[in-house]
Amino acid sequence: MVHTRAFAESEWKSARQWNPPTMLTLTPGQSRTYGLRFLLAPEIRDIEKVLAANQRPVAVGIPGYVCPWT
Amino acid sequence: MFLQYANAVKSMTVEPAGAITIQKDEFTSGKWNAYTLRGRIWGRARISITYADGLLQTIHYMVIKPEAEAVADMGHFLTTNQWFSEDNDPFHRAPSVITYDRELNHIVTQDSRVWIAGLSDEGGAGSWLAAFMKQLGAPDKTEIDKLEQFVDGLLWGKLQLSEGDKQFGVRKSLFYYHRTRFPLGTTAMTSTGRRGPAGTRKRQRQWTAPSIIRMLRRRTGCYTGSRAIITVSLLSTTGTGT
Repeated sequence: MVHTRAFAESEWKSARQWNPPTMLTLTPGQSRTYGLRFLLAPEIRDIEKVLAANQRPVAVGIPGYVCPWT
Repeated sequence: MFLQYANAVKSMTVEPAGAITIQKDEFTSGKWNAYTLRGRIWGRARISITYADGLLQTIHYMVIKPEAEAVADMGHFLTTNQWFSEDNDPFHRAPSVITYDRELNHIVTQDSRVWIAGLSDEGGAGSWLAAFMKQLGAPDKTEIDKLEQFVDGLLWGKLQLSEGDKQFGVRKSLFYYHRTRFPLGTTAMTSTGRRGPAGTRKRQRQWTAPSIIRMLRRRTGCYTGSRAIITVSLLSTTGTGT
């Protein structure tokens, strides 16, 4: 989903949004096109490699994304 | 946290502010930048990274209590909120650590899947088993005192038979449906008389030997006393399906 503000203001109102919602208003007759690019990786282990090779930012959390107070 | 991108990191922000502290580590390779993260505020946290070319990347973390504290909380919860101490329970399930419904915030004393409220099989044994497991890494005298009450008053003799030709057999559930044995209304699901909960008396008679008990027999040959049972239940941390 490219823009989520309408959801964030109604159906998702009580939730904390993962990312700040954005919106776009189309005037009559106006259009806007979005493209999604899919990349194929030979296997799961190669996903990060393929993303990096295609100039996408890669982030890895080790050991994971749960972080105890320290 | 490790980052790899052709452009340099321009800025990083954390929301809620201060939830996680980020420290840049020594350069580890030509490709990856390394950071050490420390959790500071419990809950969800978002790290927003802006790169030199303006690209925005968000990474989501969950900050939890220190592990030791989380485990201590679990032990406390199991032996207080989940402690069932109703002396007049018709199914004699007290004292015990019994199943808890987190949506209702209440212990579960009735369920059509009887073992859930019956302290046995997989779903019903999970809570008290977890309370024992917790003592392995972080023993607490108050909690162990309560678990000993459970072992002496319930586990040995009621959940596992201590005498007779079925000695050492394990009941599938202490909670069960019986049309005439209990006054009408004892169990929530018997009003029509047509369909009792799953795990009727017939099913309750099936005997199972869960891994704890098998282990108990094999390794110690000893059944009496709470200490032996606790020790052996802790040996079977793998292989229990709860």
